[in-house]
Amino acid sequence: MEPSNRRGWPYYLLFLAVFILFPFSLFQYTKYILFLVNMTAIGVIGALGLNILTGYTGLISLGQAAFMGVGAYTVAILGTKVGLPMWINLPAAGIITTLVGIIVGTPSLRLKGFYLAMSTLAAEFLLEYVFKNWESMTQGVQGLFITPPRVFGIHINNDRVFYFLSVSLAVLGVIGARNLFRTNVGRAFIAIRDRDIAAELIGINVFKYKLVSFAISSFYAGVAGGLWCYYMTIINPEAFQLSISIDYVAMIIVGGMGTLFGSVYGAIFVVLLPEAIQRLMEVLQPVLHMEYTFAAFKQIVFGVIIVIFLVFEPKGLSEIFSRLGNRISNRKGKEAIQDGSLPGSRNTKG
Amino acid sequence: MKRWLGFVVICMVALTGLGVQAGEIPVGIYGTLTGTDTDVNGMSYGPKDCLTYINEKAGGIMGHKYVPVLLDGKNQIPEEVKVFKRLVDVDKVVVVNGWSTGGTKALRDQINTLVKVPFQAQSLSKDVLDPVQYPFIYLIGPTYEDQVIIAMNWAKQKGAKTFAFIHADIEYGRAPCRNAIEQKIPEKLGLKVLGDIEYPGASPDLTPQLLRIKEMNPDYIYIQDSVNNCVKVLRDAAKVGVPASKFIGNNYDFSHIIPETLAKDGEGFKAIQINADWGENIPMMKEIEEYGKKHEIAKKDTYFMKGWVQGKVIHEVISRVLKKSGGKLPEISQFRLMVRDEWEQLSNFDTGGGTPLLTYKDHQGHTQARILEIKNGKYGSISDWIKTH
Repeated sequence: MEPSNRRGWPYYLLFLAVFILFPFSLFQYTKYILFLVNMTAIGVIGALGLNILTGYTGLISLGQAAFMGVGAYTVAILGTKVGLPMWINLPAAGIITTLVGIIVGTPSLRLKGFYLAMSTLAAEFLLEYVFKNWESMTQGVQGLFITPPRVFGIHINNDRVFYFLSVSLAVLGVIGARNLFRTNVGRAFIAIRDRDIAAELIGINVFKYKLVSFAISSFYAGVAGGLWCYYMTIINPEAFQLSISIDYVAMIIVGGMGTLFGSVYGAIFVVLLPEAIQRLMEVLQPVLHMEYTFAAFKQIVFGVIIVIFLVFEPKGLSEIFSRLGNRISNRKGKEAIQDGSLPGSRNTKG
Repeated sequence: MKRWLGFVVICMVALTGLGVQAGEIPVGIYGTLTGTDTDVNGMSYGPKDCLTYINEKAGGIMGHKYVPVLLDGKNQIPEEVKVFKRLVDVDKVVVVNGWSTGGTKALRDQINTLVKVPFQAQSLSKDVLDPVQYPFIYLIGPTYEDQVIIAMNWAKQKGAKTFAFIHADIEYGRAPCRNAIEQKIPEKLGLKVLGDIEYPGASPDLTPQLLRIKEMNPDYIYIQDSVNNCVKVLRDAAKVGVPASKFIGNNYDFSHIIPETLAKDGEGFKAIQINADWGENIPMMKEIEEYGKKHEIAKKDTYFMKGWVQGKVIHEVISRVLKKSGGKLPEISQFRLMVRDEWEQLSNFDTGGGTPLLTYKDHQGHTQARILEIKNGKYGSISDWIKTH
């Protein structure tokens, strides 16, 4: 074991303890808080997928909601019509969505930038049309209902049990993506993003890796969609519209494109900011007297905060946190030098 | 790691202190305050204003004040699920006044088996009306399917032979029309359905769909949609030469916006009415007028009236529960169960003219509707109150 890894173990154990104890430590509002955590975890998985494609490979996609829809419908169809268990359905959601992602990603051979975004937008509309009109499979606009699943005898029908599933998968997603960028595949993605012609010149098969990026991204989206389906227990085409894709783009922009934790921060931000604004507005309500314009005002505040954010910190939350982290470690370093506690710095104190 | 722990602590602190206090009866209301269908959201403001009125007029109920909590579900399933969880978990509401068909269906297990909270849906879908399967869900009036039958019956009486449907490509639009066709209701009435035309709900132009209607030339066309899209249908119908008098809309198409917007192009349009209109000479309107002297009323329309009725129903049921408990507020889960039971017992409840008398034995307050027609820019009744079953 490397020394740096050994130093990390207490933190990992602490994280594990917090993860296990958190849902039992909530003294009130358990369901609501866990609902927000679960939606954030699903958001993290979906945002990770989009960040791999857009943030790391430089391929803009507006089809994330449709990919999630494919995953959700896969889970619902396999669960209700075939009767398969969750441990098969969730990976199947990822795999089927991967195949769809590869097909949708094929135009990336010739297209990039906004043109590729438009082709993924077309995929969004096409898939939405399929969800609405392939009635024998999807039940059309009525949607499909699924019963909460059982895994190893545990009925996943409440927020607390679902928490362990969703957060575990989100953590696995982060670890998987982190390891991906330690491999040649991940580095090829970054090379393509930075300069695709140069990447091709150094021997990277650009088309192949673009498709691989679409495939991995879609796998994440499919799993996120599958989880969403199990959590909501109902899916219909209205749940996977363009506005949801835009939310995911907002998540990675706000969180930080091309950074893993950017997806996490972005998902937390987009899920929790409306709640924070809601609370704030409720507190200010007696002063503001905005009874009937309250809801619309909330939307405006949300939009303005995102704009301000992008103007002042376009690199996202992850940049802010890394700067804060650097400042803290620099300050600690200086203090350590002044204290003489750093190796080789004792003499400096005189 | 420290940042994460700090974040969790901040969230928990932020959420603390929002709960219910002794002597307060929280009532949860969610609707679409900013999403689609805001044209009928007076029915979300109605219950809130009604309960506020009762607080001010009578000091609440037996010394306890209502705390109506109105949230925005945006007419989106995840948002509705989120606000429902907040209402039942954070605000600890006794009753929820909900919104859409999809949201109600998504929450059916939560409402009926996990949380067990009385739920008054704005949706009038037959799919959420089942006292056995959904014992906590109550609807106020005729379902969309009932309304289709009423419209067809009326058309038949007027000598119609052919009929068509037009609606958006969402469940609210598609399901009631399809149910009617699948149950062979038109055949039973001797009507031939020439078409079931669908349009994208957000489409600004419905000319292609109306051209198809023109080609079919049915005697009557039923609109299963709400005000905004109804205006688009009638506008484009006039454009292609199909008169408004051929169209019958459901209860969410009874809006004065339609004649005001369309002027002569709206003349002859018919809509179904299931509750009183704004400004009618009824005792309930007097209450609203009294409330309006001190407060601004967001939406002065029939949907606000519907919401006010729902507020009155909630108040009536809670009053009965408190009378039984001697004025003491029961523990929340017990309170919810008692409200559910009392609701089912509610019989011939007079809403002050807001609706026909309400009886909730079958979880459907009433089953009556009448048909209105726009003449000289105003709605007027062209049928008696018709009972569906």
